[in-house]
Amino acid sequence: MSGTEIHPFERMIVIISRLVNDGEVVATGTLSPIPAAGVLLAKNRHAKNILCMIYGDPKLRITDGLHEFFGLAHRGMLDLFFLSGIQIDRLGNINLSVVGDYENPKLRLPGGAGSNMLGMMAKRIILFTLTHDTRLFVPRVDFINATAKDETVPWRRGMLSHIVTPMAQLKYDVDSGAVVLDATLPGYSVEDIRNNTGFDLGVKGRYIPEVDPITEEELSVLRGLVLSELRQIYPLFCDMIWGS
Amino acid sequence: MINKVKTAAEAAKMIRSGMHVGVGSGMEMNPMPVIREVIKNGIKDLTLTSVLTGGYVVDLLIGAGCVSTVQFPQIVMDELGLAPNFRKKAQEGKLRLLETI
Repeated sequence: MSGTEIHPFERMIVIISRLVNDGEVVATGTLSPIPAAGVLLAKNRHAKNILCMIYGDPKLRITDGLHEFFGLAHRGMLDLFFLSGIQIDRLGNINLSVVGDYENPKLRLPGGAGSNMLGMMAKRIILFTLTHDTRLFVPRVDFINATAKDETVPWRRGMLSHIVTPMAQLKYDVDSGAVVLDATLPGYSVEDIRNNTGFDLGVKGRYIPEVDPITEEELSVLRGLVLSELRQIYPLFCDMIWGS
Repeated sequence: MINKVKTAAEAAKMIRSGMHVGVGSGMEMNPMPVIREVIKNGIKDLTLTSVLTGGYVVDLLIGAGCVSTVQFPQIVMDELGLAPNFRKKAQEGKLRLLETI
């Protein structure tokens, strides 16, 4: 990807970077190249004072590896973490384990890898998805790995903040306890997004803006400084989007 | 001083069928020479715990038929995608899963 053409994943990276606040302690987990790039972009632009821990980063120096990282989350030192799901529902539940019946699955997936604990202990969760369709955004997930914010547990530190997809920026609405449409991405109408989401996005009577245009400056930092750092962590992803 | 140095083959002999084995996994720092010997020895019925996420060692041992139970938070080949043997055996119901979500 170069020139004025923008890859859908580049757009997502920029949207994610804008959702990172300066000063936050941010981490990304396994299989998360888009959030990793978004965090690096934020750090190279408006959020110079974030502390970022990117899983797989050879420069990451935490002495006890993931144990230490999980410990930071337990102690309330993690402000923002990124998760995804093979299914996400209206309540913001995510499924990373199985499609179909747990004992007799149609599709067995990698599993949650601590998503439940991190979803509860990080102050903010942003979900990202590589696609946006009714197979992913379902009325009810087949298996719950992590919830957005549930009242059945006595205490949790944080909750779901946003969901970034190739079509839309969604957000978790605390009042309704549900995922709603926050903004459209260029090229997609509210109607496109509703047609590709398996539940009601609460758009009735609300004005849904399009995200601010991606600037040349954002793209040039992404394709320059961020890309050279990201290649050390996610070489195959970088080759796929930007060539080798 | 007792000499504790062993060859991979000698180390692998300590792993017998039916044992509960922990393996440092993910996609880095995998004890591949020992794992190859375990597979060559025809070990069966292992309970395998990956520390932390399981990567190709876990998938290889599952694919080679060494594992009956796997305890895991996640089994994935990182950037290379899903773990095919784990997925296949779990979908066929041939693997007992102790999953930490």
